[in-house]
Amino acid sequence: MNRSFGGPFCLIPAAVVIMFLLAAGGVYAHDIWIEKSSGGYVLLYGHAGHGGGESEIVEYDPADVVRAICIDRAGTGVEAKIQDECPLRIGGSFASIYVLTSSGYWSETPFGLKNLPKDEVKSPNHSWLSFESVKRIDVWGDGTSSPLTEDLEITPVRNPLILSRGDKVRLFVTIGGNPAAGVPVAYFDSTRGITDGKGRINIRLKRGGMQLIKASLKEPGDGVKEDEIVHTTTLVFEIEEE
Amino acid sequence: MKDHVSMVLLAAVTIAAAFHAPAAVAGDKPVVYTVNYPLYYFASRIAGDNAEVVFPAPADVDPAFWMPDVEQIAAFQKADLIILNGAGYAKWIPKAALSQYRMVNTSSIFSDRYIKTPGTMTHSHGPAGEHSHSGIASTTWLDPELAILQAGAICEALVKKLPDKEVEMRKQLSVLERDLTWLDSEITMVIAGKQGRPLIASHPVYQYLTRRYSLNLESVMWEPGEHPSGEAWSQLEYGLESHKAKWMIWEAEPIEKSAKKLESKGVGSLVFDPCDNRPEKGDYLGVMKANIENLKKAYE
Repeated sequence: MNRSFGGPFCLIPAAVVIMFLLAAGGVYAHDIWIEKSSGGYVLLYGHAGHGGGESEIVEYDPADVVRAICIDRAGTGVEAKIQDECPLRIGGSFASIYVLTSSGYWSETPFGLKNLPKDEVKSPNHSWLSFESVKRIDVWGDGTSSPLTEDLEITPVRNPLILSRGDKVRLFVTIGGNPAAGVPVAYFDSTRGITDGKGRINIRLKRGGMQLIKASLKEPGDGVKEDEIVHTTTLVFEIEEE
Repeated sequence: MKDHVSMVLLAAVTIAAAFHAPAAVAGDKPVVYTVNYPLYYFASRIAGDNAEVVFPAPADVDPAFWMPDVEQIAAFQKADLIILNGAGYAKWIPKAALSQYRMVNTSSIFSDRYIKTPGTMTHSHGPAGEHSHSGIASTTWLDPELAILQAGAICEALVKKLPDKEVEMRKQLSVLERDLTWLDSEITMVIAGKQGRPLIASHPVYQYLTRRYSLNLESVMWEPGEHPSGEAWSQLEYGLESHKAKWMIWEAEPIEKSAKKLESKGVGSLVFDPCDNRPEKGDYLGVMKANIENLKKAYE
């Protein structure tokens, strides 16, 4: 699947870009992240303790998980033991884990938000198909320095695990394996900018410990089931605490 | 942000409450605290004079979103039994330092029947401020079958506290069950054969009622005491194109301006009070009987 997200974005006036960035903030209503847990990892959804606060976990349906990819340092797929429960538990030790989830179709109607496609609700205002993914990197190597999937994905250009608070991390965002230009990228809840024509962006790490960097992209839908397809992805890695 | 601030305040209040907790005073009767009026009513009916049942929320708040103060939390901490609704009702409970051994979640027995409510309909009314109805629908008692299960859970908890009163309390439970079963059959009769008739609810609180009686009901997010915005009216008109409701169900009597404007659009207003809080007149059963009478207007 080849998609182009470059081109006209560089011609958009700055004011429009700022408005877009402000609007993009709403996409990041909840966080999705992966934490280390005893004997493996756990997939969490909610609010990841921004600003040093406690994390707030929101229950999700494990059936929303579309696929999970676990790799070693070289990028070879490693079999993982996945416990189909909430929160989803992934047993083992990996260089990187990628999980794609989809909560399906959503439609805004005069009668509230429905978890249904546009053609199955009364009086739809706006409908979308939602995909959310998360990639956690714990070991830097050939396998983690390039995208793992054709989904919307954030990949560091260089080893982010050796960075410290205050350093900048250089990232590239891809979809369909191609650079995704003009994509808003947020550090935790704060949108920091959009990717350049090569899908690249620098983000300053303003705190130690677990890092959450998110990107979001909307594509036109089929107009029948959904008006838009909304992709959101999160990159998770850890640096030293203070 | 508001939620986080609330929780920090609640934590502080809870700690303070631990130091200021007055002794529960009820003679030798166990003190039973409840988080909403239906639970208070059920517990009172079952316990009779054998316990002091307390529902401390003020009359002008929505108990689901109410935040108790230091003294009220202290009183909960001192109670012999804390009767919870479960299903996410009374959101302050998980953050407060209450004894797990004294709390009874009356809906945990049917947690597999909780109704999930997707969405982000956040709004504001009353002293509780902004809140959302997303998550799990919590007005479980509006399905009388579930209300009976909740009453049963209350009875079991009371029997553990008062084993020598078991026979008496189980008898009182039976009478309550009979009343709730009567409500169930009355609603069933009112709606029989007309389940497909479209209705609109002013607030998304009737999920369990809808499921129990297969109602064709859609909800907006209106308040009885506020006149909806122009956008809300536009959205209603758009919604009525596909959901041709002739009646809107309100939690309380709507202001005249809203009721008249609705009427001009061919939509009547009727009240079905979920009875979360203590009624001004009568009791739970009386309110539910009035609700059934009101509901008849939509199914004549």
